[in-house]
Amino acid sequence: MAKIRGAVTVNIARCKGCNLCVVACPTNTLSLQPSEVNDRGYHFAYMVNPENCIGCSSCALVCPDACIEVYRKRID
Amino acid sequence: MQEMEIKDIICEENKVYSKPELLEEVHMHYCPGCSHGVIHKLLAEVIQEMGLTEKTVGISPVGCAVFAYNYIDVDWVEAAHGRAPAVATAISRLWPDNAVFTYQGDGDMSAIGTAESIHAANRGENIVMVFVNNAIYGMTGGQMAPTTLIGQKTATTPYGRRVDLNGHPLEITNLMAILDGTCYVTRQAVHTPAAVRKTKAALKKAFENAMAKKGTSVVEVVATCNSGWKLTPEKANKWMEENMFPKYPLGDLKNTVE
Amino acid sequence: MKEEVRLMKGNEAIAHAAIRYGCDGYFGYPITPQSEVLETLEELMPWETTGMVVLQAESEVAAINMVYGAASTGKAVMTSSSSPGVSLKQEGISYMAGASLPALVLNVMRGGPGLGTIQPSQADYFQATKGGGHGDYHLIVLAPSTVQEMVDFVGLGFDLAFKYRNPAMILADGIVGQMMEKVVLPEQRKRRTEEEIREQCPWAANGRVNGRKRNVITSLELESSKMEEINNMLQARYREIENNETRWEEIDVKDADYLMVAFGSVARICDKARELAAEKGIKVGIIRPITLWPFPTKAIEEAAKGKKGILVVELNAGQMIEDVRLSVHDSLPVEHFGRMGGIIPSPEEVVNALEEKIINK
Repeated sequence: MAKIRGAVTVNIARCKGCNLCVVACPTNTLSLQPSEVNDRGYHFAYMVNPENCIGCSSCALVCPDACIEVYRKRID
Repeated sequence: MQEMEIKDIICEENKVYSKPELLEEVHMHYCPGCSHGVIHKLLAEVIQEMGLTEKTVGISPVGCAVFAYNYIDVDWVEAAHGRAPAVATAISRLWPDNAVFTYQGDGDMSAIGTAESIHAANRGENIVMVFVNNAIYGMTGGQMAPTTLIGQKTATTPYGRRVDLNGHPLEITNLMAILDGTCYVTRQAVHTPAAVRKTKAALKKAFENAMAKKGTSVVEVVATCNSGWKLTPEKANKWMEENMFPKYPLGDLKNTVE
Repeated sequence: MKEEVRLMKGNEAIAHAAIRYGCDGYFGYPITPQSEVLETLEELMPWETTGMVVLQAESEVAAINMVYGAASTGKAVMTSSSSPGVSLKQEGISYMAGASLPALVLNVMRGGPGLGTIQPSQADYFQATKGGGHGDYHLIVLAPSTVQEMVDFVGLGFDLAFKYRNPAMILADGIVGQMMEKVVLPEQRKRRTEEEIREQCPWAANGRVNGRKRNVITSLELESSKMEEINNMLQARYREIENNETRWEEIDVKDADYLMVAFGSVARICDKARELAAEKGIKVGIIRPITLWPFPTKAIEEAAKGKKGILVVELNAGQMIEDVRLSVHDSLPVEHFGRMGGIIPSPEEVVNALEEKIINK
């Protein structure tokens, strides 16, 4: 059966760690970096459970800083 | 094994979502989680996808979005507080082939600029008015807006807004809807992926109306100001759903085009 | 339209001149004594001929901000009003000065302060020449004394505004606005095409065609050093305007013992007073500043040499007199004669004032 796999990249410099992508993600793929911060001191978002991602773009849609790119691939 | 798979997924042909080119690479000055960023992104997407980059002139307000001109790569005019609809009127009248939109906050649209907003809409100027309603004055430090809810605490209503002192929250979008000059008046939000998709569709419709000279389109976006509300972005969204939406319900208030 | 000789009011002449000089848009709000400008434009319907846009705004505030918007796109646009309305426009005027926008504003002055009167006045001299709105800026201020100059200064005002990217003002009094005179209307000047505007105004925000960088019209700059740079640029522009564009008229100055300085319609009363004084054997010369800003300081300083005194005549309590005094550095007596409330002095009154305040003092 075909399976959809997704992945996101986060523009770390733009991310302000607002957490809205984490809330919007339906598969618990994302989280904020617990200790690491970017140049502005924000705990940026990253894929804590990358295998969960379905590439639905929910995170990117609600991201106020347009820092998320979404990729989706059909695996047969 | 898993690393290999991710690398395999992240490639140009699999990309389904990215920052619109029209949105500048520069860091936006908005607070973390601010709704303005999403609305800017949607405007950039709509203008780009409709092929209006060369025809668009945006009018930025006084308020948090004053620097919108630094973020969306189209021509901009920065207006005095509340005057964006007058500025847009003239540009639209003198450059009728252009796409002209205003971007206004609740102070700009419904306090100092009420006259300009109502009259531009009443004349049916072929413009798009984007109205960001977060029920507070963000840039000046969280004071009361005309749209501030009863009981809502702000810097100038520290014990909560009172009807006897401050009057009622102003539903200016409802006023716009009864004017003959408006063709499309809608109220949207950007707090969930579904809401973001709907707001984008609304903005697209508004720009289509302007280009087709159908009259004035007003797109209100009920938004959060988590700094002003003193809540996390996530809690601000919840507060908005529970408190703002009952007073400012989402949906089309008017659509004479369809 | 060919050149044409007509008899008309100053306000009507402004409307005809706007169309004939190729103005792209007029945005106004009725107020006495200048409502004929908008009325005449609506009657002439220039949108059917030259394509000029005419719009009655919801307020003076809206009208000036429409001018701000249209000027931001490189279009040649104007508004007109009278004193209380011009007070309302000051915000927009300051923004235009701050954003380096060319535009033309007509003030047909009436008496104040407050709602004042609808009768003629020159009491907005300070407002027009010293700033009016907030911030360090100047308008190019032209003072017409005839209906013909009302026409001519529309063309001159637009030319100067675009040459220096600075708003210009025609500061007329209610007399020039309301009186009828013979006037030569100029031949129709073609309105610029959108391509010509884009070429002449590469700074304008009218759509970033052909992939050019975006243009932003703003007067905002939060970085102090950059804001000071902008202010220095504006000040350098004002010095350039002072050097190049100061205009005035002199009558019989050379052989005179006394000078009168007056602008607008009052200069014409002074000219008659000059004739009456001559009959009495008093030799009076007149300096009429045509640009109130830049003020003809050097011309007055030069003309005052060897004179016995200067009478400054204005329809106000004494405003331009301050600039005249600054021009002559207390080298001779400078006195003021003015009427207010819409009263226009007779030439005889002016001669009497000269005798009382200067000659017999």
